[in-house]
Amino acid sequence: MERKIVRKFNWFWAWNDDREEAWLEEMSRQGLHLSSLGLPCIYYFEPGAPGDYAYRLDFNTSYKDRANYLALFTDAGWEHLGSLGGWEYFRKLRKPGEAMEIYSDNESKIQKYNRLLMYLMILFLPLVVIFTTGRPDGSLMIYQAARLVMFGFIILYLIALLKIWARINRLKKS
Amino acid sequence: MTDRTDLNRYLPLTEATFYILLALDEPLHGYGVMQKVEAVSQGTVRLGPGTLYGAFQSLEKEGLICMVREEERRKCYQLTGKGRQVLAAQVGRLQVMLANGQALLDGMSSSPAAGRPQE
Repeated sequence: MERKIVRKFNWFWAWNDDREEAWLEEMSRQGLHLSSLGLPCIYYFEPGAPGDYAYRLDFNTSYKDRANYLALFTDAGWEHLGSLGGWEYFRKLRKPGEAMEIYSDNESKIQKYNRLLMYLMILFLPLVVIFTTGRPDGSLMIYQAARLVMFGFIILYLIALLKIWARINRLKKS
Repeated sequence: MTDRTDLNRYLPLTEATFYILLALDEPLHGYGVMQKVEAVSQGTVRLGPGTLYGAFQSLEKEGLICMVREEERRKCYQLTGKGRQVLAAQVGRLQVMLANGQALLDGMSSSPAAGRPQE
């Protein structure tokens, strides 16, 4: 029987990476295993026997050291499935006695979200600068539309930054 | 010799950092560190690869460990002189804590009521 790759669209916000992990785990329990990722928000699944897998997302933008980074995860038993926008997708079959977390303490988990926060800030700040220094009296329709889109992105970024910041604080307290 | 206050800046080390430095007494790559830490901590500390990768990066930046070679794309690290001093400073602190804790426990076992608040 030919196994066909199943393509699904799904959208997850950057601050909901745990929900994305839970969704991928549920898909595997139903017999659809993530095989690769694509833009925009496309997940490719390979049908197979249902399995109890743990999916973990890491945020890593140090591309120079990528081979060493991936070797460390694969040595620890994590299968690398793909990456998208700085997010790295890993999977491991759940077994008793096996370590199922890629972050073994709170301090390092906080660092992961700090990296994400810094990355978003780098994209966010130029956007704010462009928006605030633009001519507010521009009358061209296209100019007004661009400003509106930019404003929407700024609001989205603000929500993301606040959500991630709140998450870091929750981790610090626990 | 590094200044003492400079060393104290790194203390207290997290349990993970303490064991990573301890393991790097010899050159090891990431997975080697994971296995050694799990063994010497008697299974109490199991490092995730994300935690270990982040620790390698920050410890290298701080000069407590350095990369000595690369084996099949895997970086091998080893403790630096400064790293050894930080580890020694941490062990010194732990010895004080241990002595204090032990003294309290010894006092408690000789007179069970000692150390408890008056009712």
